[in-house]
Amino acid sequence: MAALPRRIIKETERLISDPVPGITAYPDESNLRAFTVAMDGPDSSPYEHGVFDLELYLPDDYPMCPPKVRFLTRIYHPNIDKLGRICLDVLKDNWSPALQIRTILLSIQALLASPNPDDPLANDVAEDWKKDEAKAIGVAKEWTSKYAKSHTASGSAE
Amino acid sequence: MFDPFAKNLADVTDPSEWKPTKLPMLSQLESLQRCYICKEFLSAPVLTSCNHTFCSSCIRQHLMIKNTCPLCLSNQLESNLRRVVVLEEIVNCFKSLRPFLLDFLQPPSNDSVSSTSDRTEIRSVPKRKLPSPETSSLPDSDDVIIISEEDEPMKRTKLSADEAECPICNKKMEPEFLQNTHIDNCLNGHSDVLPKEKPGGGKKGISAFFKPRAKNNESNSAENALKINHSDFYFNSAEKHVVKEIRLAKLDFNSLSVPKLKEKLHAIGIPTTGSRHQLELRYNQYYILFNANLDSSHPVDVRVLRQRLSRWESSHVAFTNAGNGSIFGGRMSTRSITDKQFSVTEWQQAYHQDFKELTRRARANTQRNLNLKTRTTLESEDSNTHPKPSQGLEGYTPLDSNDVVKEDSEVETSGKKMAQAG
Repeated sequence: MAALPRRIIKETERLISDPVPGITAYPDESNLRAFTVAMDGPDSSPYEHGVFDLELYLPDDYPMCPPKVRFLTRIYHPNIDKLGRICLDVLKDNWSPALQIRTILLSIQALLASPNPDDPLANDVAEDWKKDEAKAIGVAKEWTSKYAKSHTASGSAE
Repeated sequence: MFDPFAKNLADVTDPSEWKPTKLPMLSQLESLQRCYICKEFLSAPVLTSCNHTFCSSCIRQHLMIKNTCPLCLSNQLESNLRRVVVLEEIVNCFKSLRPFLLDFLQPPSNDSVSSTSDRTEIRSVPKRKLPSPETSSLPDSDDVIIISEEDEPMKRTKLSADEAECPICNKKMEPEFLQNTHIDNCLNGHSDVLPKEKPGGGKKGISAFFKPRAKNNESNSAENALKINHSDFYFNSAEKHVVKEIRLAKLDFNSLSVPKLKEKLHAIGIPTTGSRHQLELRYNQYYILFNANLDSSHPVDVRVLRQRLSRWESSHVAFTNAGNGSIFGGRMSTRSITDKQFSVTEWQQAYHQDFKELTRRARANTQRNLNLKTRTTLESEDSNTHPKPSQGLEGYTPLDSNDVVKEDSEVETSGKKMAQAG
């Protein structure tokens, strides 16, 4: 792990100096390729008022291959499974080196705002979602208040 | 701000540096000259058939994984990439002007108090940049700087007049020895002990390879950076824009045996050590470096490419040993023995003691067997005076120490064979 590409240094610098609204990402002190991310649930979504923890890792071949991202906080979402893995095209086949950490995190936030039960990762959640959306949204809200940190608390601390 | 970054940030430039100047629009001009993949100034820019521009090495590396344009996702072929000669000159020209422009366009100092801290921070950038050759557009000088700054940033020491620093290992030595003997050894990965040769030699011995740096150290590098006439190069040296060298071919690894692959690697002068997987990775990386170098109007020496290759290897997971205290430590134990990347030498080192113990026991066993045989042969000697050689140990005269040693060494080599097979 000798060389850290300048692109990573630059991205990190910008993430810290000019953070994306509602998202904070800090690199690990021992490994500058590993990031700890805190993401606010988007407004007017079941995840509103919750702060979700994620981990993000930049593999050796980054930016030729996508970063690895995972939710650490439990979340009830048809495209995110129990282990926190995320089903998102730009994290897999549609990755392009023109994308970056910032855009990926924004895509994930957008995924929270618009769940896609037709292309599920967590099948049981997706079924619930399709059967009774109102009820599923209720569960998602419940999980958010149960597992995610409260947005207002962290907001006032800053 | 961030400790681990402090030393690296100094030489990371960014379009945002124009924001506080008198002409913030320049950040757009700079952004357009940067590669969308590596975010650096375009180096050897090439154009795709969808009219997007990237560094040659960046887009080639990407196309090796996926045949799409990173910007518009349209299908792209490596063979369709075309050089953009004029853009390379524009970028080089802008790069050499950049520190001066930044300096000239600083906002007046009697500004509002609130921006003072910002200004000093920004200001320190061009000040640091001006005397250094980093921003000069000479490709060779860039390389020399990169080597020393990334490997051992703090250890750059001043050279005495009769000494030159090896760009690879940073050892100081006689320029003539460096040029004639050491540089080749170093580039080929052999570290040699430098003899104290006769003094003398002086500057005339330094090859063209080192000239840019020496020149920059002597005279005002800032002046030099501006002396290069980019328009003259573009309009009056058109013959230099033609690629004369033949590009490296893409290899179909499936149809190549390991010895054949090693032959190919040897033919282009890159190391042939390591597992098959490593050989393939190495070839592909060199293929990118080599072909991208041909897209530049200012190509570097192949030796610099080889050295870049070895630097790439040293930072790539597939080439680094497990357990260096990195987060990948302990990978060895989880890796299957059938894995391509399985390190045989590491395995041998780890189980060296066990094999020694095995050998010792095997030796003791042979010794005991021999002693038994001695007794039996002595007993049977009366009846059978001609022992049959085909019957193995019985054929040996038991007291011949040479044979015993031979026997032992055989056990040892078979033990080693076991190690390799394991």
